[in-house]
Amino acid sequence: MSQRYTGRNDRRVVVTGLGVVSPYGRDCQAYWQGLSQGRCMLGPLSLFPTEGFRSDIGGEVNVTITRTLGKAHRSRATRFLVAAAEEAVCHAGLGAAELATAAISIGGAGGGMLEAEAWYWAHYHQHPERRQRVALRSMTPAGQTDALACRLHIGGPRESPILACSSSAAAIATVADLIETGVVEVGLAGGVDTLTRLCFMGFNALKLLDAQACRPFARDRRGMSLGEGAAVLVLESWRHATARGASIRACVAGCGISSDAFHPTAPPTDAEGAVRAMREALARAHLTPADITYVNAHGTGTVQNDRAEAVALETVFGAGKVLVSATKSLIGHTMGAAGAMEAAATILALETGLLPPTANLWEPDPTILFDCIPHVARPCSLECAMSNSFGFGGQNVSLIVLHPDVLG
Amino acid sequence: MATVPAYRAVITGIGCTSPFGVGGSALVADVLRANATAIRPITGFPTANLSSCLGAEVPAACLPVTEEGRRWSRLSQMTVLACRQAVAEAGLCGSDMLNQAGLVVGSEFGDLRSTEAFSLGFLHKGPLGLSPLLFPSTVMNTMAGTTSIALGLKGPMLTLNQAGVAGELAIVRALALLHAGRAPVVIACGVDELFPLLYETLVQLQVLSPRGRGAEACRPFDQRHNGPVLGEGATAVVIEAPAPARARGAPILAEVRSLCWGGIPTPSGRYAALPHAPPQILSQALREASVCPEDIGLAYLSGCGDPQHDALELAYMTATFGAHGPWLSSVTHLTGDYGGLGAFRVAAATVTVGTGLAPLLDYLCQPMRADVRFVVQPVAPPPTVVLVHGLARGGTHVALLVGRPQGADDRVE
Repeated sequence: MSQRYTGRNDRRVVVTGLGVVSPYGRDCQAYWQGLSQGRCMLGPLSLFPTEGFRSDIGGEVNVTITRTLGKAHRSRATRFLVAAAEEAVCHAGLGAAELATAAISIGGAGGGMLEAEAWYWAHYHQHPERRQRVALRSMTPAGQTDALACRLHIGGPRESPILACSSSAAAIATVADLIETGVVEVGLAGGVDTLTRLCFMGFNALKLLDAQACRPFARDRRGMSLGEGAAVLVLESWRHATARGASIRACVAGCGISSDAFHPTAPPTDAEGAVRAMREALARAHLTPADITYVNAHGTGTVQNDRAEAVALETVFGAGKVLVSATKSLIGHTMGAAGAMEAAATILALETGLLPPTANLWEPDPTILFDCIPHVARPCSLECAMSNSFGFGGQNVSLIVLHPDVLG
Repeated sequence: MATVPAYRAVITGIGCTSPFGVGGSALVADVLRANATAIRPITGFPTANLSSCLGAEVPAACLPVTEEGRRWSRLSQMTVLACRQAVAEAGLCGSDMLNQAGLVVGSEFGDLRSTEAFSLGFLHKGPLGLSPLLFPSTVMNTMAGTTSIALGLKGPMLTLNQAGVAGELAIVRALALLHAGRAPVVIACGVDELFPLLYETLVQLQVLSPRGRGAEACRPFDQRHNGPVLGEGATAVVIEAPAPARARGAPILAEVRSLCWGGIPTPSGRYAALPHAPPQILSQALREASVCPEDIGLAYLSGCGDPQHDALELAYMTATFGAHGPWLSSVTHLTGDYGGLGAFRVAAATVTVGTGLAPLLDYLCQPMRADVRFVVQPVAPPPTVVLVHGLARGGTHVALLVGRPQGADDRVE
């Protein structure tokens, strides 16, 4: 590493807890086992009918898992979120006193839209008896954040950032800011989204759904596959974590946030906004591009986005200079939850020295000049990694995480 | 609860798309001076079969008819107009600073009109009826995305979803972005719109005035209050660090002296579950600004006419300030209530510290409490520090202190 990460010592932001609900299962262990084995979970959807659409597959959290996720009268998104947060808090060993002043920021795009859609469908078809009030309570993403804050008695600043597919990455960045600047010592940051008709219909209308399992960075990629899940990270100041003897799993060294100001759904061909986000993250981490070994790409599988991200990676790191993989090929694009789920995957890669693979990458796109780790996880001792998240509206967020040994 | 410690920022521009028209701080001053409500029977959608019919609507004539504007949803139009106006008032039009400027938009519901229109495409015609042009507007960051494109804002852009205090939270997050060094200037905007199905549903759930008793009206803090009346609009404020703002000769309209925010863990959607003992947020905001309770000349409250909300907010005021609390005012009886309204409250506070103008709660016949002072006649002397207080269902709680700008060259525009 060109320069050891020593910036802002006590205010360094560390990760002390992780929780994930994914198509693999209801905890981090299941998530990492699935990712590292390269098991693709994209299959037929059962949550809603898919007749007439371009695709009928996605990364669904199956009923065996959802049965274990607490009270059924809560929205699906709230159940995912609470389970992920409880796991993260348990891992971190946080007590009531810490939670009483902790910040909480949960990103999402659809919130409890699955139930809201059912409410609206019933309204449209004039079946008022089928309209359930839970749909209204949890309709917006803030409903999930409020429900979690209530459940865990979290009393600090509360936010629900909506940056489309980079929502939960932004949640991590903004909580990290609050810790770095001394506003809070502890925060929960993450995201949740469930599969919804609205999202499925939307990407179908944009002709961005692949009929087969998505193939990020492949020559014949045809679009994305949707998924669902939740991930929550416990973030703390280094001082606070070490004072209470917490186990430090990683350090969030730098976060970059930028806007394209270009187009509602498409990135510019030079990916200038993504480049700025990555460079800002590097600058805030006091690192150079050469320090980064691995990038967990946004990698959706759409022709335009993968191309733009590859251009951005080339501009920042140079062709072939980092290893890249797209975990969306395994569980689908989890929308607002993707940033936090991929940040969790990146931290687990740091911990285990194993890079998760890109599934379905039988024929890499020759214009994408990176080793995208096809099919099989790759052992790799790494200290610094980046996770990228980009969203509609031209929203770019890049996070850099470090192995705790680097902290010194 | 948390504060951004020892941090000051200045407000250099205001923009509003409101039931009173589109404008900047001069429009807000006119609204406060006239003290005339924009609440009247809704004309934008039918209410004949409902037990409520009132609202404060943004007139169609206010919204853009340009080719560019027609491509945007109604809510995005409101947002872009407000932000454009604020940027102009701050003297930032054409400035290179916009390339680095941040944008934070707070909204409770986002663009439900577009979401419904998109869904109806499917319900009417199946997958072939879905419009790819409408889909991006179903995501709540559409207003921010559209605004960043329209104004060329390339810094951090966030949309915050929040019930009740989305506008205040946008301003809090804007300050946090400045504090973290993420942008030299941030535009914070609160926005929401009237949406027919939501209105109808809230009426059916007996959330809105008149809730089956008394006449339909927006009367926060009066014993006759019987629920909120909805409004709509967008208000943007430009926030900068003081030194760079002064260096570029920006008009300094007001200072944000302190802010404090947090959440009271409580079952979502219920005011009744919130504690009547005030959280420490108010007293902490005073400490951070190094001011005494007596220094607060006036407070803009978020009371909306919901009896439980109004009672809680007044209880927090009396517990914090005792018998000598600030004059209490509100803009809700003028504008109607919506999630992003807090940004308008901050704009009003900005104008109040500059001009002494404040809305008169002249509808108060039976005030809820006798131990607080409501603004029923012009306030004298003009307040130099104004509290903006927001309390939301679910327990999110915000206090901001807005003060008269300090410094020899500052002037209120």
